Amino acid sequence: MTEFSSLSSDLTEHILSLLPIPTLIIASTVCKIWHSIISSPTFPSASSRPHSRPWFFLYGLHNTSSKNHQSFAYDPLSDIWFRLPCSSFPFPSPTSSSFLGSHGFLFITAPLFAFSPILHRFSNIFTTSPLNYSRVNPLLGVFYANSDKPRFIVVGGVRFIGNLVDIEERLAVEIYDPHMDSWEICPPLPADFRSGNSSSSLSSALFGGKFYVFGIYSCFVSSFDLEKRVWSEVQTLRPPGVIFSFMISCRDRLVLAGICNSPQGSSFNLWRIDENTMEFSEIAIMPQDLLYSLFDSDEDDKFASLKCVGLGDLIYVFNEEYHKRYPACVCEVSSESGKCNWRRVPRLPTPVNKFHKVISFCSTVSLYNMLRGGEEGVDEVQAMSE
Amino acid sequence: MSSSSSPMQSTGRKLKLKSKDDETFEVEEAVAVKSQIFKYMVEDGVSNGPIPLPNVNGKTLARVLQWCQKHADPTITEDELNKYDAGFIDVDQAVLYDLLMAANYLNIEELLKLACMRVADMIKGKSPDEIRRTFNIKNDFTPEEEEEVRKENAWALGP
Repeated sequence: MTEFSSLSSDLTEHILSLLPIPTLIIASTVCKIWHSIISSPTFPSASSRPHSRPWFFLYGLHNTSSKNHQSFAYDPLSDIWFRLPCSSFPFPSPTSSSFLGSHGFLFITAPLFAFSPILHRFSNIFTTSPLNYSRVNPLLGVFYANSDKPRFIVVGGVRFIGNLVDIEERLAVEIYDPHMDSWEICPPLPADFRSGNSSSSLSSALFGGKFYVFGIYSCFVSSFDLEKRVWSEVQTLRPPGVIFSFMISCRDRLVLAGICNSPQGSSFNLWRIDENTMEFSEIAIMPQDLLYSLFDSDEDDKFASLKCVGLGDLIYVFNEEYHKRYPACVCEVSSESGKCNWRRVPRLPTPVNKFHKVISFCSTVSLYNMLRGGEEGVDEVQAMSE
Repeated sequence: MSSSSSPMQSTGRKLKLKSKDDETFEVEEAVAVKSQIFKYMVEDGVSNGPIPLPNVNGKTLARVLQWCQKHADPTITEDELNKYDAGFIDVDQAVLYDLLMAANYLNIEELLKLACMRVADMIKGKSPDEIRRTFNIKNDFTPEEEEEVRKENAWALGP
């Protein structure tokens, strides 16, 4: 009688590659062959396809005790939340004002700059040489220019304790060179952004070799060419009725997502942005009942706690308010038809603490990093290219 | 395999196939070309004699050809096809693996995907022990190794 064991390892690999990551982690404990297939760097797991279905991470910081910090990760393929272990907070005591996540890494930016890969078997912390300007809540982008070591671009968030920061310093931009372990000063952010240049009023997106900076309320946009090291001229990107919006880098398009007011009421819309002309065209509107299910009250400023992150084919919209335990929904943009499919994200697994700061971001996850991820330094971290 | 009763466009040309246990089958070209192997043979001009398939037994080949027949039918709707597939692949493991290997050998992509998904679905939602029991896999980790491997990502293992 034909048994599973009659299948070649190629066929076994093919079958396993159809499974979502959480199932693969379980499968890797079944026997040695399965473990070796699954933890191979060349294993074609569904989630390793570039950026199609990034995970959504939610890190909650509690101001009185780090024991009350919690972190969660959502896998859109299996539609499940995972409660991450305490070791997912690799830094000894991340102060809420300098902790952020992007492209597979967690960062603290003050008092020193350090990063650690997420969901990596060894949550090593890599501390870089100091930034030229101390920053709190900067915009941060991760890119790989002809190298398998990540480079970081930081924009804004400049803070000096006790001192006033002058305008030039506020607009300062630096890029990290991993080979020299040094921060290079780059042309500063255009002066239009002089007021409010931390991540609370700016949104950023890496797309097509450029780092876009977008004012959530101001609607100013400019892009930094990572190779030529120049900022584009500043334009205003405000579709009619937009109150505030976020810029998101999706797989093959730049997207603007935000709250729009019209005579019919408020809605959450998505627009596709042409990266050359900054022209916008509406691609979707979140169903009204879904939007209202994210909020409790009827207050005017209820949307103020609304945040949006996205990557690949997914855009996550969630409410940063503790009240409803951080509800979220996700929109999947189909690459062929451009059709958008909205659905609620399941509730976070209880208990969920009341955080005084929520850090949220999208990232692809690497099964290889989770299971094997090299004992050495960042060389072994499987590059998650943009 | 007797010719179908469905009104299919046929060039009239048939392929003769011989399974490893010497069962012979006659099948319309339009049906056979679901398999990339036969597709290339047809394009390159095929010999007169029956094509030997030493890796597939008669029972499995009959099933595979039945599937190809259904999928080559231009009158069938997508819904009907999905229903058919669901019923088709709901078989014992032994039959399932025979189908899977035949689809792989004959290079029938859709059937291979169908069979693989079915096996994948049998893995989902099970604990490691349940998986081992289902597929008759021996746990070759030592207790220490197993503990080490479970510790790696404990957060993904529990509910």
